[in-house]
Amino acid sequence: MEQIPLPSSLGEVEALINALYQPNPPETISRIQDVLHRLQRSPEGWQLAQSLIANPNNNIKFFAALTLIVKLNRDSDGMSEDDAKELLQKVIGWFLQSLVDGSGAFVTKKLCTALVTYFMRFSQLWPHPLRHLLYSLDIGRGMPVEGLDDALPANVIVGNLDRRKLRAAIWFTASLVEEITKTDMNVAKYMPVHKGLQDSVADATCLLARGFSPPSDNPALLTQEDALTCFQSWVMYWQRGSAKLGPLVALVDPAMQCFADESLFSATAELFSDILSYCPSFLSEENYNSLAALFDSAWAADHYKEIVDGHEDGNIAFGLLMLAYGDAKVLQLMTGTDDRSQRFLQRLSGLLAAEGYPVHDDYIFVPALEFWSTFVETMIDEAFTQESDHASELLVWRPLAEQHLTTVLMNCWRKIQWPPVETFASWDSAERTGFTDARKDVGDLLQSVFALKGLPLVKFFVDLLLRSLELQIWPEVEACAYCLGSLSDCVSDSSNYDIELGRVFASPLFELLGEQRGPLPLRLRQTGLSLIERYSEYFERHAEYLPHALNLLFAAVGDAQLGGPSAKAISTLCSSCRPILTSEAPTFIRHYQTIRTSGLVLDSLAEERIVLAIASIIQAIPDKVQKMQAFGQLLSFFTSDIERAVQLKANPGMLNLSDPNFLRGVEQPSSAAPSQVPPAEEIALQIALRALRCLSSMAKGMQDVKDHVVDIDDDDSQQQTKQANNAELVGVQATILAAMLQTQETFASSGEVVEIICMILKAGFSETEPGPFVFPAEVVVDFFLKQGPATPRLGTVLSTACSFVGSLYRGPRMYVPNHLSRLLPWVISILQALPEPESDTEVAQNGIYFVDRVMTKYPAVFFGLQPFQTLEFFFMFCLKVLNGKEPLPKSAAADFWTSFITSKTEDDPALQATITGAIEHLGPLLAISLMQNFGGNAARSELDKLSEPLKKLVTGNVHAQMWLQNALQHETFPAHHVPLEQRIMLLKKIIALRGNRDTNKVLREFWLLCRGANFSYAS
Amino acid sequence: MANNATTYYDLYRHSSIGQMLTDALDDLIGEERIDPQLAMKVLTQFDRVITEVLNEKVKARLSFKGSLDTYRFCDEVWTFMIKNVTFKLDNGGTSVTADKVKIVSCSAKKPDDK
Repeated sequence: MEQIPLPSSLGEVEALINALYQPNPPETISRIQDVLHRLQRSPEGWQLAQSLIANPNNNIKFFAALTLIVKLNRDSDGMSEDDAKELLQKVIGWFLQSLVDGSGAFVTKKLCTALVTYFMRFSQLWPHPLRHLLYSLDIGRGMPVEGLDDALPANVIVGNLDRRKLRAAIWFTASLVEEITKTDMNVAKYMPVHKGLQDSVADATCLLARGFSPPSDNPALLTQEDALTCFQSWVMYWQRGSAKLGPLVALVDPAMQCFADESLFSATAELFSDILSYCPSFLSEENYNSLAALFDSAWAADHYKEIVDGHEDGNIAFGLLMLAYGDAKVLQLMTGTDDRSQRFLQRLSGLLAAEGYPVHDDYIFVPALEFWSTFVETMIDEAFTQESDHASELLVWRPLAEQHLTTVLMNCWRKIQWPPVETFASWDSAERTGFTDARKDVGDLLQSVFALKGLPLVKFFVDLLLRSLELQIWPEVEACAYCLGSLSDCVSDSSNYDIELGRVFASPLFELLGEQRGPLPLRLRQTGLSLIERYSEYFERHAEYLPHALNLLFAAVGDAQLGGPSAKAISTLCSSCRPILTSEAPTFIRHYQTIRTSGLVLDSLAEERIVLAIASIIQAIPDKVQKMQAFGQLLSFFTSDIERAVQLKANPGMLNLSDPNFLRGVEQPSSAAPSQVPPAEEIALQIALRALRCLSSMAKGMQDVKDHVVDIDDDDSQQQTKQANNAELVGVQATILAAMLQTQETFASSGEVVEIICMILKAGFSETEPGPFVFPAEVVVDFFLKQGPATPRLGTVLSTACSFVGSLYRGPRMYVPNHLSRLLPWVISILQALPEPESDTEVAQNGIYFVDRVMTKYPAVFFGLQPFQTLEFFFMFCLKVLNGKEPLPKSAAADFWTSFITSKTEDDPALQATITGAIEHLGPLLAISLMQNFGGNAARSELDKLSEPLKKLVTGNVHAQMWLQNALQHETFPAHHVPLEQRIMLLKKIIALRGNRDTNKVLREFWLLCRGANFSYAS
Repeated sequence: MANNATTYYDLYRHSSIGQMLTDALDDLIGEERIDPQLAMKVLTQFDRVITEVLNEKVKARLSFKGSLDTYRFCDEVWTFMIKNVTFKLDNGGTSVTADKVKIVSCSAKKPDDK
């Protein structure tokens, strides 16, 4: 990019500034800005600012003020005291000049910022900035700071200021407090600045009081709005804990008077909303009474009516103010039985009934809902506290509060009713999401209300639902069903609740839900199905309703919109009610078969859920023969699918898209035009994946939900024979395994295939009883050994192997070392095949985790690994990873070394000698690696993890001190600037701490020392 | 406006995302691409934004049931120890179980902001 040369004259600079404001390409603007920045930073910057400020062009003046700020921030450190004082006088002079020479307000405001920047750099030279500025305004030119003693009292000066000067002084005060608020008052550098500000409070109060009632010289200039903004900034500063700002409270009443001026209404309402929300203690009881009286006035009634009538645009600020007041006084309002409190609460509940749809055109609903959530939480607290201590008081206010809650519930129920479909479709996505979120918020509120009301709340919505159902007002029925669904987690299994729920589930609503072309709108059908799912526990207790509910759900499975929710509900119901449904297994399998043969291709996820549902019922069948028969039937669908996929891959010509079995491999069969049909190979893969996912769902469904006792003293041979004797089970397992292997072989490059197979295997690992997916350990080991470096998603395979090691407690223990001895070299060979330890982080991480588990549980297997070079490779691999940058493998390596240092065995002296020898050999290398990390190489987030092996080293090995000392002196130690004494000091500290938790802190401090002061910015 | 003056907890700096941000800032400082003052400002901004985002934008919910074993309220911090907890997530009704869960909760407004 072509550079613009630095301008050589003032005219060229002015031309550049003017060019900034002209329409130019972004790169030109960027180049101009670059040149101007260089000018500002140059030694001539001071002179440039002084020359440009006299220019009549506002943009150029603004640039001059900006240059001044840049110079003050960057180059004012070496300025002499006299120069600094002279500069102040000049800047004040420019500031005063800007008030009379027709400069724009933005120029004067920028000069205010320049003055504040000056104060923050030279607060010792300008201890009373506001008073001095007022003095200069009074005299009409920049006065020497020393002359301040001759100035009139601030209140007299303020009284003499005309509107123009008054407004400029308020701008300066606002800028002063806003800029200083951004700094930390506990940092030594800023303490004098904060003191100067706090000393100015009396002057500021007097100035703002005048701003609220300005002289009548120039009514076009409004000072009240500036005074409100400035006051708001002061109050927010007060909130930070300064007790010296007391005089400011005198401004509350004048500020409140601004409500009377409609043009100031929004700014005033915002000010008081902020005060009430963020610093309610700033207001006195008298102030609160004034606000309460204001809310009770005819003026407030008008504003309120506008909001409720849906004219929220100009009045939303009033609604928010009411809510902020309500929040600040929630306890008093709730327990207050006086008319004023009751009237106010009535209005707050009325805010939930404003015209319009929440979020779309009713903006007050969500904030009002938040207030009522606070109200309910406060009510719960108070009700439980007073129940024991002040029961009589509770009796007085609680009925009144509950009346308000009833109104709130009714209003919310009306508000969450869905708009007509076409209306909802016309909203933008944010409005649609906002409306749905508002419904969820109502659900949360109901759960809180339930803590107070319990059964009557459920009865309230049941009655409402039945009444609306009778009148066939579907949006109302839907809202009732939604509210009842929200309470599903709260209701207990007591018969009282069941009676109420029974009235709903026995109602004609569920007959209507089953009618695909019935009168119910889609939303209601969705909510109805979801209600069945949410109350699955109810159906466990009331099996009489279950078949009807399931029939209804199955009927909806084929529906494009309802398929997903109904499949989800089927899965939940079948899973939780499995013991009741065992006799229905053949029916459900037939149901599933009908769906498949009907030509209807279900959404994949919906199908998986249905398969899971059927499998969970099969799992509960007590008769083993019937169980295996049903299982075999279901399994046959998927083994056939896999076979078909394999054949299709081998013979693409057999593709027939009129056959639903092939359509299963096409994403959207109904809409797929011939030209969009993917190649047969891709369809084959999709058919196989879908079948595998269904197998995985079967595996999850077949998981036992009951806890069985694991007898760890059980005879190994008995355990082994338990499964082996069941020939049928062995046959089923062989079928499943063959299907999985055939799929993997056919679609060897598919990572998804591997991933799903791993999920199927994992589902069996957690089982304690034999089952079709609980494969014998040797079968699983054989599967792993078939995988090599070319297998996709190898990290997942290794992660599955880790889970496998953890599951071996349930099998015959005598064979475990044998299995692990086969797996361990396989895992290490995969790590050996990596070009670099960090080239596949998932493989490295899970590989290390696997070895760590084996070493911890079966040290003899690990330390007995042959050839010895394999072990040596692994140790060096782990050291490299520990020295590396990848966080996940590094964390695994830190865990490994922690386990390694603490490895021991008590019953095998020879093995113990091997372990000791290995630690003695590797300890010095580990110490070097750890010290390189603590010497600055580690990332901050890794320090705690890396501290663990070090702590174990210190507590577990007599040579640790020597190894660490050598490591700290080693040439590879990265922080050469840290003197040896300090390194030795670290060593002494960590040895003295003996692995105590404080070691982490000491190591963190040392890391900081090695990294340098630049890194101490974070706590 | 009020938020300018509100102070925020720095507890989310210890979350995974906070730790990773700090590591990234460390890297930038190490490469002399930013100075520590800017890093400090970024972290302060992070404290504010993560609090606001978690409060306003995250709409995912979960409910949980369990046996309350111990609870305490000390220095404006609630601590609950819950046993045998089942979490129910609202996306697909997935359940997650845990033997023991510790919940530490601080007021959304810091004590010095009240």
